[in-house]
Amino acid sequence: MIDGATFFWLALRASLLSSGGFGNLPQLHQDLVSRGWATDSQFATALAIGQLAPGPSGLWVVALAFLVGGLSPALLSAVAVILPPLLVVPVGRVHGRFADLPAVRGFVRGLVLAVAATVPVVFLGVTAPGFNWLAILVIGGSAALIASRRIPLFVVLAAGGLVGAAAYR
Amino acid sequence: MATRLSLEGGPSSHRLLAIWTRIGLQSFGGGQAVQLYAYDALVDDRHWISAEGWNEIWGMCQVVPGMNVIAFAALSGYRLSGWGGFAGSVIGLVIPSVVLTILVTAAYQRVQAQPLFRGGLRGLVLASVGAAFVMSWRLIRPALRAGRREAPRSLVGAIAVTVGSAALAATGRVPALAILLGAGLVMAVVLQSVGRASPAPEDRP
Repeated sequence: MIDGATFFWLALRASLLSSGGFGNLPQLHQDLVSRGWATDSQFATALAIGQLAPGPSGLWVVALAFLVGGLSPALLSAVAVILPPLLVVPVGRVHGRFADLPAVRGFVRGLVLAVAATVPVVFLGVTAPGFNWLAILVIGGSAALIASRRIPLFVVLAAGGLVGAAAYR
Repeated sequence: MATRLSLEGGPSSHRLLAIWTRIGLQSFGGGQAVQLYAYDALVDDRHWISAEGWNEIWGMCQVVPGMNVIAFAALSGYRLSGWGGFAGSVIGLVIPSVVLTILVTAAYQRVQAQPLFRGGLRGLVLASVGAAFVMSWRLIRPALRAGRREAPRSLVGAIAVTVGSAALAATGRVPALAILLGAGLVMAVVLQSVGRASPAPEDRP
C-alpha cells in the first residue's frame, strides 16, 4: 500500500536535486521499484503519457503516481514536482552575485552532465523487456528525425505510436 | 545584472493566466514545445520580454532544480506582474496540464487491455527513448565545447563525469542522488581549479 506522505517526499527529494523534467527519473525509479510501489512497465507507460499529454513532459511523475496509487498520490506528486522550480524567484535575486563563480558553474555543469548521462540509461532499462530489432529501429529512427529538427517532436512520437500499434498488437 | 522588466503597463495576472493556459494546452511535445509557444506569445507577439531578457531569464532557470519551463513561467510572470503574475503564469501552465495528464492516464487504464493501444504506447515509449538520447546529447555537447575552450582538464572532467555517471547508473547499485551530487562536486572542483570566469554556454537552451 502506498503511503501518500512518503510518496510526496520521495518525489520532492528526487526533483530537488535534479535538472529538467526527467532528471528525477533515476532516483525515483530506484526508490519506487525497491519498495515494490511501481514496476518498470508502469514507469515506461508514465514516461510515454508524459510526452503524449500537453504541457511540460516532466508531469510524467503525475501519470506514474496515478497509475500506482490513484488520484491523491497524483495530486501530491504534482505539488512535489512543481515546488522545486519555483525556487527560481529567490535564486533570481542573488543570481548575478553567484552565477559566474567557477565552482557554482562547475556544480551546475556536473549536475546537467550527470542527468544527461543517467536518464537514457534508465529509459533504456525500463523499456528493455521485449527488445528486438524493430525496437532498435524505432529508437534510432526517432533519434535521427528529432536530431534533424525538421519534424516536430510530437509528430515523431505519434509516428512511433503508429508503428507500435501496427507491429506490436 | 538582472534585466528589469517594467511593471508599469505590464499584463495583469488574469491575462498571464489565460496566455499560459493556452501555451500549456497547445504544447504537445514537452518543454521544447512550451518554449516555442511561450517565445511566440511573450517576445514576438506582445514584446513584453526582449530577446535578451528571455535569454537571461532562461539562464537562471537552468540553475534551479526541476522543470525549466515551470521556472520560466514563474520568473517571467514575477518580473512582468509581481506575485500575481507569478501565480497566474504558474497556475495557467500547470493546472490544466496536470488535469489533462490525469485524464489521459485514466483513459489509458481503461483501454490498456486492448493490443492496439498497448502496441501504440510501446511504440511511443520507444520513440521517447530516441528523444531522450537526443535531448541528452544537446545537454552534453555545449559542456564539451565549453570544456574544450577552457582547459584540457575541464574537457577531460566533463567526459569522465558523463561516462562515469552512465556506468554507475547502469550498475543500478549507486543511489542516483549520489551520482548527481558527486558529478556536481567533481565539476565544481575542476572548474574552480581552472578558475576562468567565462559565461556558461550550457546555460542556454
